[in-house]
Amino acid sequence: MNRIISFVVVILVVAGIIGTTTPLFKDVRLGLDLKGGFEILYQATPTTQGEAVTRESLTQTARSLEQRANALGTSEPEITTEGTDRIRLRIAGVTDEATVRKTMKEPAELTFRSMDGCSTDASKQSGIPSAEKQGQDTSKSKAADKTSSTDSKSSDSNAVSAQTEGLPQGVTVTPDTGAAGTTATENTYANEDPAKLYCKIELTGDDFKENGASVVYNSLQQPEITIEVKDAKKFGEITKRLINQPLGIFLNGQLLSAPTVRAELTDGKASISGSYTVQEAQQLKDQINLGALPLKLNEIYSQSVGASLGQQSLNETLKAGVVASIIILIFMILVYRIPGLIAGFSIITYVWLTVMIFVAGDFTLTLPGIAAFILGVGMAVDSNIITYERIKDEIRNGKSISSAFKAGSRSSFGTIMDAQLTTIIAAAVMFALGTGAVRGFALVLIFNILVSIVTNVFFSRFLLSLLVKGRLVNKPEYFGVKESERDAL
Amino acid sequence: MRFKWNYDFVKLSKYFYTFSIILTIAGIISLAVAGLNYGVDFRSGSNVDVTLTKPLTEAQVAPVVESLNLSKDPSISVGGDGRMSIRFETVLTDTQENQLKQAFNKQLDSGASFEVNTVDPTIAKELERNALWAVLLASLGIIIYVTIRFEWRFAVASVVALLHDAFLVISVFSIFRLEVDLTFITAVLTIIGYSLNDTIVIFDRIRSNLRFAKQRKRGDVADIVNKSISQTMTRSLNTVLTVFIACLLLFIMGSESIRMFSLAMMIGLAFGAYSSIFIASPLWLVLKNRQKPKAKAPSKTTA
Repeated sequence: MNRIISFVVVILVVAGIIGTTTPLFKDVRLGLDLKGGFEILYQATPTTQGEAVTRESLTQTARSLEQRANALGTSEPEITTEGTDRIRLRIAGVTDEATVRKTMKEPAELTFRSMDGCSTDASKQSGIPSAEKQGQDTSKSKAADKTSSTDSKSSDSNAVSAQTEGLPQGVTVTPDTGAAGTTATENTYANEDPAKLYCKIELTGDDFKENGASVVYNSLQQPEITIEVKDAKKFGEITKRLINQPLGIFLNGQLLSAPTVRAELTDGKASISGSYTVQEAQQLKDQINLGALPLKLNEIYSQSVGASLGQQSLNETLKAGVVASIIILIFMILVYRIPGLIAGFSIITYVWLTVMIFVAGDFTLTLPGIAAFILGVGMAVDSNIITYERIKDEIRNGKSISSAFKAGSRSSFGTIMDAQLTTIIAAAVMFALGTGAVRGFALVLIFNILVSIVTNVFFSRFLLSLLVKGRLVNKPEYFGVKESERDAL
Repeated sequence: MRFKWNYDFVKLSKYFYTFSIILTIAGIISLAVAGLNYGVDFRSGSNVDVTLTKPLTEAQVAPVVESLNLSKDPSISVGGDGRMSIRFETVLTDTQENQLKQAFNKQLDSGASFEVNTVDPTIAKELERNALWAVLLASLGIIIYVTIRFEWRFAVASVVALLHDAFLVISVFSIFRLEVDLTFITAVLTIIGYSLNDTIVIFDRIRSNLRFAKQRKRGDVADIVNKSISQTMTRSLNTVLTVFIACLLLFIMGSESIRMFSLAMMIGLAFGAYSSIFIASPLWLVLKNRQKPKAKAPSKTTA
């Protein structure tokens, strides 16, 4: 009697847990193929010939890409490095794909250019510094608006440390972005291609320290971008030559900003300040950092799935899955009766547990993942079928129900373990050697098998043992064996 | 039930060997002559799948797509259930992609949503090659494990069976010109997993029957194989049937993007069950019978 009660309690508790946690299913992270979004695989090549793509530069590029994607406000970009020179980028649920894609691709060629020696420079450079006052005024109020109190608090210390590091006071400066557009300089040049205007390339991305740019705040809470170059001497020479001249920051031929050089900088560090909003400063910092990497990114594979299409795939697949499960359940009950019912229950538990692992581990469910899942369900069904067939054999051989259950469970255990372990080994090798889809598939398969062993071998057997020992299931018919099939011992 | 399966599987096996060999040769020829019908994943270009909110015919779409001048001979195919696929031989750039989407939304169907696959085939080919290596090395791992747990003959026979299944599925796709995309690779891996699982279950039964059987004459081992197969037959059929049902439903009801996957799975499941019974087990017997008869100290040198 006790066993019957424990059986009922276990079933109710497990069913209760499954029932109450089912809403968590919506937290499963869905892959692009099910949710919509896009995936791009980049091949990284060094910008300068002869240099190799190093592990470090690759991860740094990936990190910068991630910052960039985050800055765009995309939800959970997934950026991974692959092999020795590849970066995979996955962004789900993006509405404005074109912009994101363009921005992600943009980081490539960073140059700092001057007008030194250009035909038009001499007469016009004088107009630039006039932007300074106006620009700083606007930026002050902008920064105050945009920076939250916590932000400014934490950044206070940044500003201090940056200053104590010995950045020359008032060094470089004053961009002519944004509000500065009203200055004489801008007006004069408005119709000219800035790339032509700034004809001399002074520094390229290679000259900057990787991840050397950062945003700090000066005493007025205005954001500034500090940069570091590798060769302080070269930088000193350039800044000396270009004092009071603008230095254009270009990314892929586009002018980002054009601060004026205010002093000769000999320690390889500089700060760019002026009318930046926090956001603009962050963006510029990211752009400089990304451009400073010695890697060029080329798209070699891309996939994009419309959000509604992904949803449709998911719905159709789920519907098919539910119908298939019901048919399998009915089949199991018809063939194996009471144990079949228990198998059905443990398979549901198995599916639930697997999905929970996806939620807890924050894994992404993709179509290949669903494939592995199907195989997992197949093996889960198989584990139960192997056990019940063995038990049926033992019953037919004339054993009592309880000894048939014991013998059947014991002899099927080794079989199941051998079959599952062999598959785990195959999956482990695939995981170790595979890439992309193969790897994901193998990982899901390994998890599935482990969960399957717990639920469909141990849990299922435990439930059945309660019923058998409780003498509730004591007739061969309950196992789907006819009395006429039994051999007398 | 259990008496139903008392066939001489071993005796029948030579017909199945012939069948498998013919299929394999047909597969080799088909692969050598025609290769595989690679989907967009494996061919350079762009494939745009459009989900429509209203029915459109090819004649309506073609002029709009052609007017954009995106690529030579875009091919348009209209599927059932409000879907349409436009294939470009060259890779569309971002701008071109947007042009197409905008033109389509503006001129044809404002509610259409798009799935664009753009592929440089090197990456798909690489995945294919990578999967192949993974499978071959996984086979090695299986051989080592099964040799330790069972014996090398079981290992060899199970690996032959799984390679047989994977290859035949690939052959069928080649012969019937079914489209091979990236999910196909996953399907083949799944089939290998299934085939292996299935084979090991039967081998396990053979091994345990061997333990209790006395082997006096040659035919005894064959009897054990027959007995083991018939003992596990119900389980083999029930299992393959349930998984097959799942795949069949995915094939019928599931999303378009996994249709080829489900098809490959169904073919593979059938081969997986077949090979475990008719190829792997008899093959083990062939290897076993070549063992030196009654060498008092079982010679290990063959391993």
